[in-house]
Amino acid sequence: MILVINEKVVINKKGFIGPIGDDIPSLIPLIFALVLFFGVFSYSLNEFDRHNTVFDRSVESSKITAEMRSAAYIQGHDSFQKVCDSLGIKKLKYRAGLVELKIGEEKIEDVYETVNVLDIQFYKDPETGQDFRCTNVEEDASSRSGDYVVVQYPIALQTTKIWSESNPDMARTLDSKFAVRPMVLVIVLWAY
Amino acid sequence: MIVSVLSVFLLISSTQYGFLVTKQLDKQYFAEYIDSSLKTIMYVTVPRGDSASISDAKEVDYLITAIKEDYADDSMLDDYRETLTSVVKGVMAPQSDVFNYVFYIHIEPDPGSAVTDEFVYMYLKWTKYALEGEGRYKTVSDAQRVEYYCNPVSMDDFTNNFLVNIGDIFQSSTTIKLPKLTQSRSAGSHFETEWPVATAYLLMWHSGEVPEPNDGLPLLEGDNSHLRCCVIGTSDCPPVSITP
Repeated sequence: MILVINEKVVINKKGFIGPIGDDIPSLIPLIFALVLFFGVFSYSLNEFDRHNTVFDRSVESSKITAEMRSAAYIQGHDSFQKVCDSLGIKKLKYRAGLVELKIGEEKIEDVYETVNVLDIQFYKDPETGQDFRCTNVEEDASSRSGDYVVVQYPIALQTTKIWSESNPDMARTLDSKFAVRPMVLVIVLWAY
Repeated sequence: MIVSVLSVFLLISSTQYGFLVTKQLDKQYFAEYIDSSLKTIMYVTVPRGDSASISDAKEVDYLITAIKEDYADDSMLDDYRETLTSVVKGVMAPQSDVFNYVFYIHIEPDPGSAVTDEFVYMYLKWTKYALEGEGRYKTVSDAQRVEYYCNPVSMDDFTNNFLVNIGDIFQSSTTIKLPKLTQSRSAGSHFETEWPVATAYLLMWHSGEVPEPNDGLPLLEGDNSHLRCCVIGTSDCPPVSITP
């Protein structure tokens, strides 16, 4: 290192680098601290964002379930379709519908099999052929990967019971004798 | 140092953000779930007569109506007890892997009356299991679903020895008027109808080990147990519920 002081040339051999160069050792922890801070800041922002997305989905699912669940009683397919048509969910994609519950099974733990929630076959009335499902997506979502929310609630479904032909003694009546079946309302939601 | 403190603060905030909200949302979900379950149990129709399913039955009726009819003649739930149990099991099936639950119908005695509590019906499902492994993380093995009919000594006993020891409970209840035919005190075979007000409860809680009461007596099974339960499907289980 060579210094010029009062036009005299002084040669300092004791490691003097310069005004900035001397500060390099003190810059290292500063840079490290800044990197750490911005790294943690970025991670925190991602976490907040992720939680907010989950909360948004939960709030939207609450809106859907409150509408569809109502008093835990659905008076037939028309009532179900009316509720379905009134849902104005735009921020999320959803598939909702009814799944039949089995009553009278001795080993209840062996009755149900594992299914893909994105590909559930919802209940279809065997007597009228009416589908109890509701969705705002048309494409097949069964192979979708990523986060989704699933909520389910037991619900009672009133169906029109039509006397079967195997009971020839019973005349068909037009006064809509009905049965109330236990079902599960299943709602699957995911983000666009 | 200031930067380190700020970073630690941000990290803690981000990991704890929304924890309470998530917990509250879960609680609300299960509260709504149990409420829906109880309503569904009360609303369903069951076949009358010998039919096993609604589709084949010549006559169907609300389960609650069948229960009232069954109770009216002898103050016991005997004809439709198994049907009620099937409905409760079926409705609670989606959560039965993770939760234990109990459904019971209770008649509160009138204040000042000498009559004790009456549990018209109580069905309890408990999943028992063994824990394997050492340390903090263990695995569940040999999980067995056990179903009971119970008749606790009293509501106080049931509350103090059972409900307070099973952790967080999600519950729903509804009142039912059960008709009770009693013979008139005046001459003749005239019957009068009383309408004691019963309450149907449905409770569920996360699966866990059977708690042990402080007095050393067994909780579930045994003649001197608090809940006086019998395992359904065994010869010990009486065919009808016990009334005081």
